Amino acid sequence: MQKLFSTKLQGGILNLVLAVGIVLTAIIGSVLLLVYHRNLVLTKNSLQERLNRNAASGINYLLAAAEEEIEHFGVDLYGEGLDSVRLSKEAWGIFDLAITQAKTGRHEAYRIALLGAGLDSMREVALYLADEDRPLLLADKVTIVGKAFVPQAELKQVHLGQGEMAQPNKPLVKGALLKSKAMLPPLYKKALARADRYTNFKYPAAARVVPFTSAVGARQVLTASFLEETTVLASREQVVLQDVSLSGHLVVVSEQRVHIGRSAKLENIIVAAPYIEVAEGFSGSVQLFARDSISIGESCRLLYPSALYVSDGAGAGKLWIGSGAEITGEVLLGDEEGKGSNHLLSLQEDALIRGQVFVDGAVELYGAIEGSLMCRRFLLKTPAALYANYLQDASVRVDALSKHYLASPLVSTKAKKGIVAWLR
Amino acid sequence: MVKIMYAAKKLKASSLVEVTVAMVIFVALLSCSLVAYLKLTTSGLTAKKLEYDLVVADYALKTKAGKHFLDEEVERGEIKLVRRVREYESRRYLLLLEIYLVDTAGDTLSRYKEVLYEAS
Repeated sequence: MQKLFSTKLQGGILNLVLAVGIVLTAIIGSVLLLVYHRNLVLTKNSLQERLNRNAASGINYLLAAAEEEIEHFGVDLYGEGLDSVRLSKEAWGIFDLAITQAKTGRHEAYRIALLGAGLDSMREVALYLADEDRPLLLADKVTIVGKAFVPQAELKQVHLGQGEMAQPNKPLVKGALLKSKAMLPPLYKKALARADRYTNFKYPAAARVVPFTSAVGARQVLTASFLEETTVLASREQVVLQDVSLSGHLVVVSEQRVHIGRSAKLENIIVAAPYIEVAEGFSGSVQLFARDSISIGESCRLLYPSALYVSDGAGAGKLWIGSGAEITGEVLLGDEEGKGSNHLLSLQEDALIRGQVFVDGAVELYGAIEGSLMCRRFLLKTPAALYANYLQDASVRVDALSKHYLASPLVSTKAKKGIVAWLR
Repeated sequence: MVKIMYAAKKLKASSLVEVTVAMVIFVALLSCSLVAYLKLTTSGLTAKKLEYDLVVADYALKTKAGKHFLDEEVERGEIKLVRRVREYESRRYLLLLEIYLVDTAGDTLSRYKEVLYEAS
């Protein structure tokens, strides 16, 4: 036995065993690390997937919530203590802003969305013209597709100017002709009340108000997260938005006037002022609230979901939309109280509104509307005269509006709600 | 000159005990590694469980896309997909979609829950 232990092996065997051992250890260690890391990644992904699903469930929960605004509150989705989400719903212009947060340990998932509602009863209505004891007279090249509510449920075809009528025997309205009432339907009452907050400069108590010049003056790009409180960029002077990029939870307010330049990049923000002017060629998604008037320059593109609201408190607000401009969203002129009905929307040639238009007053319609128009009267200006309730070279087509279009959720509380835009 | 010195250098022989101890240590290390490997691959999210999760997620996706909101049980070989749809907390338009993947013994292999908004 002693001889066995004292046996000497060939030189280098131990070194060889150690070398092979070290190589094997390195390989095995790598394999173990790889498997461990893979498990970690898969577990993390699985957890994140569940959190995303819970956050999406939270948005669905808010879509069904009847309340207009909900302060932050927690919900245990399935009553098992494992799937909790924090929810909040607040006003963002005439849309609702829904925020959900699902969290477990260090992992979290957010969903932020603008909520809207389907058109419901307005889905098939192209025109609602209030009955002011004046018939609607259609001249050349007028297209109305969809249900039309007009005074006494009748239309007359007239010919203005010289020469022959372009299409004398063409049907005037492709859709049912129905009798309208003296008042416009009160569909927009809540939306107008919400919009009045902005024109009267009323903001949530939690909003952070900072002077416009100090916040934007030195910076060209300003992005505010919707997860944080609303930032109000306020100014007593005129505000010029030129060569700036503003996006997110921002409200730009001026007590005098806001000029939006062509080079400004605005995304999902709100602008409020007595007078708002949008320069020719501007493109962006923005909600504009004016107490006096709004002017949209030629060839502007206001992308969905945009909104234009004018109310001067006396029923005489004005909205002018230049030739070639395209607005996709909601256009509202009116007051919550209905203090006056002399608002004026002027839609120039080749201008297009894609969405719903509500005017408690008159409309000069020389462009096209793909959606619904509700107004009290039409005005038609020619070099020779001003005609009341005449339409010429105009188009209102509800069939051209996408079936996926969602309006403000305040217009129809019973209609199916949906996501207007995902903000995160 | 260096080459000659290297050739002349003799390595010291090792005893059998030294080599045996070294080998025992490595065998022990290998055994521990094997145990750790098996534990890592059989616990947590295994490839099989991941596959089950994907089957359930795919079924949920098809349920939502096709708006198939009726209870259903579908057998797929040795596993069974169980779909349950009910009103969520009696709230209008809200549905609770639950999907379970169970084996023949009735054990739940994977589960999926989501609150859906369905106004139509």
